[in-house]
Amino acid sequence: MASEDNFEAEDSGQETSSESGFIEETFESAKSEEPLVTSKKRKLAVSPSQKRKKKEKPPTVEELRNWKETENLYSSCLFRLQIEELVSELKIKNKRRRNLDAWLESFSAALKSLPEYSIPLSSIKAWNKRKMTSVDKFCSKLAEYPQLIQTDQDLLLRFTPPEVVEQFGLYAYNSLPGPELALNLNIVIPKDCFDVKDYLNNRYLFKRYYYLTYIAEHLKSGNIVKGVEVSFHECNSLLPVLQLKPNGCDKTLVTVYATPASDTFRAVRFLPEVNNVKQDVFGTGLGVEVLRSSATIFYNSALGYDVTLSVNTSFAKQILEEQSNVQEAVKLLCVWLRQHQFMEGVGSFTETLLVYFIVYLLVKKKINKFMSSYQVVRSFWSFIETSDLENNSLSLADVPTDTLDGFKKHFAVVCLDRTGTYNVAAFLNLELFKKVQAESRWALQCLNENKSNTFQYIFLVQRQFYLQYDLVIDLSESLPLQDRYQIEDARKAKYVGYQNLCLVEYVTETIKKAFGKRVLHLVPRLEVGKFNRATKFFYGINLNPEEAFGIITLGPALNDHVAATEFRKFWGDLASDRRFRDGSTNVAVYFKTNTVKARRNIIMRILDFVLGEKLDLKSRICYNKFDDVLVSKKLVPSYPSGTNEETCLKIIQASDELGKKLRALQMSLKVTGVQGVSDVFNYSELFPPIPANYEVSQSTTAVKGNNLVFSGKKPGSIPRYVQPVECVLQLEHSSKWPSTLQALRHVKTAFYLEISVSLQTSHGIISHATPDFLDVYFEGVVFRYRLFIPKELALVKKETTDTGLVCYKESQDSFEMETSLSILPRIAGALKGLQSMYPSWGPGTALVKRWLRSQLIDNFYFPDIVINLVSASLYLNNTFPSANTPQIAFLRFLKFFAEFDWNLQPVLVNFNDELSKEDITELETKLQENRTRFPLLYILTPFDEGCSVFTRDVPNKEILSRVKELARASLSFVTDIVMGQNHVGVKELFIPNFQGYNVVIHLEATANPRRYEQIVFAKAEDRIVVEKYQQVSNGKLPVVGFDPVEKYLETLRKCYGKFALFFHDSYGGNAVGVLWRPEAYETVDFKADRVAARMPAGGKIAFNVDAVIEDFYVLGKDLVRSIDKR
Amino acid sequence: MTAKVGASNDIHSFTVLPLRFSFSSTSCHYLFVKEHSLRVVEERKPPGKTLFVLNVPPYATETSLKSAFSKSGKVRYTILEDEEQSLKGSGFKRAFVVFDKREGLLNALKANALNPLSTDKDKIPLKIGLEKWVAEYNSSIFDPKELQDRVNNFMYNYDEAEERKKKSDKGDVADDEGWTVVTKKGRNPGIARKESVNVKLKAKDKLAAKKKQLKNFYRFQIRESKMENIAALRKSFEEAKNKINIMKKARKFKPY
Repeated sequence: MASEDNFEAEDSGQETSSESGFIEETFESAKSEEPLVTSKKRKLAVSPSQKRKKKEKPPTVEELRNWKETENLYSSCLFRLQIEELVSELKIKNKRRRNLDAWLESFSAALKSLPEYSIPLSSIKAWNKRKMTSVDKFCSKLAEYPQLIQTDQDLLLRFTPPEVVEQFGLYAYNSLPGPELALNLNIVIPKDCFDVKDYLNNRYLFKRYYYLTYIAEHLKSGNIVKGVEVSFHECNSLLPVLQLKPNGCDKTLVTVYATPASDTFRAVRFLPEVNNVKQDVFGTGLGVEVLRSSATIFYNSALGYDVTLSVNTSFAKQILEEQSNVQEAVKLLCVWLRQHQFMEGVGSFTETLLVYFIVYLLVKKKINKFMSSYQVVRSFWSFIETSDLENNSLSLADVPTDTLDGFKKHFAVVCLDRTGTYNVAAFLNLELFKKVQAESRWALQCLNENKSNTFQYIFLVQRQFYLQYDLVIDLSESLPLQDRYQIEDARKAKYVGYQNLCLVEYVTETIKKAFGKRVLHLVPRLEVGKFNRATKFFYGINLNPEEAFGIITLGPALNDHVAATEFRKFWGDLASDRRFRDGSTNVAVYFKTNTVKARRNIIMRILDFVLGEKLDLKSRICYNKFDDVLVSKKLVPSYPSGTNEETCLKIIQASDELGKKLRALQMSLKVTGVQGVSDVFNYSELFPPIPANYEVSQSTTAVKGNNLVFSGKKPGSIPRYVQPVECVLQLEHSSKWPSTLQALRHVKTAFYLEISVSLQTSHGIISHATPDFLDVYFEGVVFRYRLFIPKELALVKKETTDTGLVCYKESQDSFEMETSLSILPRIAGALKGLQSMYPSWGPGTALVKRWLRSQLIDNFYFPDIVINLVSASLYLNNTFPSANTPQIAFLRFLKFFAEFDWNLQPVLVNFNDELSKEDITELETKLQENRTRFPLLYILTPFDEGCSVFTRDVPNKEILSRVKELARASLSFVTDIVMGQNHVGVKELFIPNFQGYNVVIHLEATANPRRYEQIVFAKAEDRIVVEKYQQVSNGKLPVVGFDPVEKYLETLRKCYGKFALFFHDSYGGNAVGVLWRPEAYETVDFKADRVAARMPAGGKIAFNVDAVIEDFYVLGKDLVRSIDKR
Repeated sequence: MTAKVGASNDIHSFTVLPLRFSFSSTSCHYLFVKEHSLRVVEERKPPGKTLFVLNVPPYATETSLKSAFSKSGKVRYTILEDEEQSLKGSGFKRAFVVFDKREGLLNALKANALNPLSTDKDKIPLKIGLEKWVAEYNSSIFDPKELQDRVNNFMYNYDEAEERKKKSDKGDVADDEGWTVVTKKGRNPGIARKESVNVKLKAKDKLAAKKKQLKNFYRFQIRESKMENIAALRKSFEEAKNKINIMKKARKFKPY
């Protein structure tokens, strides 16, 4: 480091002329780490150019090495630092290691002093003699442990102190991710405890189990441990272990495992073909003949694991020794697996497997010592992703291919260990492995894209089970699984010792058969509790978006009689013979549907069939619980409709048709473009206006021109809300637009009038022109067209300075105009594209809106467009594999927002990847440098040049925090529902809570035009069916876009926004919650601009609450029913 | 000048007057009033007769305010203005009440009550709430003919004005003394007087100057470019580090 000091000494003065080769020198010297020869001359002259600029210090050796490493070994500087930070978080302190070592010593000492016993199995029972020998006492104590298995004879149990105690597992390889410590100990049972044929009929397992209890008993009497529990190794019911909480070590769990001494059994006894269970010791009810003749592959695997454990451990230890980067990578991968919950339950991706793969890669030289942890992790993923383990087998030993093939016949995945006799992946669930593969692929893809928050998504975000899948089936209620299916004896014999696994596989197969191509992943998850009893049983399903919602499940061709019969047998009444358009005849299952919602429901129908009829299992399914809140129940169209899709589609079709007509009109300037702006066009509008005819109603409306207006009488009930469908029109280019704003706007009006007249004369379509827009009534829907003339925008921005210089400046007006007429249509178009790629986006986003609005956060605080964009970002950034149902889209939105840190991360909505990587980095850097200058919720889109136009003023910090808090609470609520801890319905999430508000204003329901949008859970009794739209000659435009509640809120916010916040459920809410701002009650000095709504109070002025509350009445006359002051 | 007639509520030269919405109202807003006096005299706000009113509630109209103040004397007219502070106005307004006679004004300053804003006897009832919005909606419906006429009228006037302007602009004719005014019209109109044009020109100049320079010629240039490279690397490193620090503070690295 001597060179470093040198540089610093030099900094004071460097001469331009003499040190021309300075940098070259520093680079060289830095590499060779030689002190640089300094010359006194340099300090004399200081060149002026260097004085001007802030001088850069020459790089230090460390820096150079760092950069070089980052460049070669990591994807980016940020990623590297993040890895380092995470690893340091996972580090285990030396103090704790020392503690544990000390404990281990005392533990070994305790084991050495164990007494020896030799007792027959039959003597293990609760003795009740007056004079108890120590042996009797011991026996009665052992009898307290439940007998987990059975064996065929009265064994003689010999207990002698263990030969050796070895460490194994991640801690032993120095790759355990902290901060919790987990140490695995392997106690080697001396050979003389066993007989030659103990591998048969559970005898070994029995002795092993009692050997462990023998140790447990003696540990209990000492003061080494705080607690001893019997648990199971990797949820394997044949391999019990002891879990100890050592004294003097916090957050530490020691697992004690027992294996036979190395030469007790011959490893070949546990090859998969061999039979080791000759009697029905598991209560399978199978005949002895069947048992004797079949291979006991899983029983063998359990024993094989024990026999090979110490060989494999020492091999892994030797390979992983001194490989600090690889060890670090194992830690990272461990975190990754845990975040995805891949290590939980039966058949999971265990630590043993992880170590196996890493060792395999090291042995095969796919990774090496010089790779960084990042590269190792990457290699692991790419290996997992590309290796086709279904068909190819791996082996760490040199075994002939015959042996491998032999294993392959029995196991789905084969990963042979060092000895070549044990399959490490024996219990691995193939479906889970495929899911791990998919996640690896995704992680690699993320790394390749190298976005700024990749690291978080991969390592730091916890992915709960139910968020990973489109659909979760909870079969916990049918546990323990009953064997009431027709499973062949041979298959049962194969699973001897693991009947549960056999049933799980059967259920999985059946469900899979029913779904066919509709699913991508069908992952079982069986959790176990005490005594290895299954407590939770789930299936997670990822749907295949292309096939999932098909209305036909195609079976085999009719002339393939055998297959066709089998298909019919499986599907029962649902199957039918069908002839298709291309002339083929097949047996098939046809699901009749007429709405998108019903198509999504096909999945449920299949599940009902397969779980109910085929498997007879009780189940709870988390799939489309939330669809219900999207359905308009009080107001239904005459055509079949489910969620919003049908009506949206109708409107889009009408809009396209009308657009065509508009473009064909003969006018002085032709219409060249029609762009939809409303959310209707991208299906994220919760309640699109249902096409309808509108007539004069006696009590409220009258006719004025082409429109219905309110009659002079006081309106009793406000007609239902008719939302105008917003569109933007573009005209062909012309240079003849007038050059003053006022004139241009008049010409625009003239165009509206011209279009209006043309539509009337050539198509008989009625419309209503105003200076701002043109309303067209077509197919029962009101379309609102606005013209976008770029010159108008220029004129709004135009300013002339005193010197006569013309400049274009942004103003509030121009900003609003540009946003709504130029940027918004482009975003709407992009969202429409997104929706056609991911059909769940629209309804999913609508669900988010429904939720947020029902939490009384309305468009004023959190605009619809912002919800759209945030929701779009989740799809575009692939934070999860794409969601296929609205429900999962909604849940992931909640997840995102609950963990969202708006200060750190911008929301990237990169439509079609229009923003280049450089653009994004540049904007992110700018954001980080000067956070306060940008909006709190910063949304990056390709259309607004990094201005985040939609979030410039809202949402503010309070609202964002509130939404975050709400998202977190809602998510934990949903978690409980899905994971079966809570049995209330989801509706609670959508019921506004008015507690905690200072004032609640109750509104008159009849004056609320959106009263039909209220959430209803039961079947609505007074539902209104909108009659089918029919074109009539004297049709009229309805009262459009008239919502007094909105007007009321607008007025309240305008007048009292300084003093209070107003909360309201936009979808038909009949109450407004008012919250006084804390500063409202402050008494302030008199100033002319502060007097509003205040009253004099002793020389100062104070808030005039009573008058303001009365104002609420006055301003909302006929709308406000009562005001509740709290 | 101000009339401080012992009213205890007076504050900063303003007199405080309570204003009710109607006779049945239980609470009231407090208007802050004083005589309007500004150096610049506006015709609409005659000095001596104009009362300056602050804190006028949002639902008040010019007519209703007139009737409210008519208790003190005959009001000629009232002017309502938005409070200028915020861009969109806060809903509360300020008003100028112009009395017929000065006595009215003086009475108002001495008064301790006003008429309520809305009474049953009003000829034009104060429209509030639903009624107001309904009326607003009805008036937002345009008659196409009227609208067309309005547009036509405006455009006719506009075209004429344009025509006149064109005529006056035209002609690079010499004036009496033989000078010709050079306009932007003609064969060589010169560059447009626009900010964007200026910016473009400057950028062009800069580019041209840059082109002339040799970049990798002198040793110090090479050295500097290397240093810049290092600086950039350092900067990106620092940025990453900053980000990590923020994340660390937010306890982002606790995996579970």
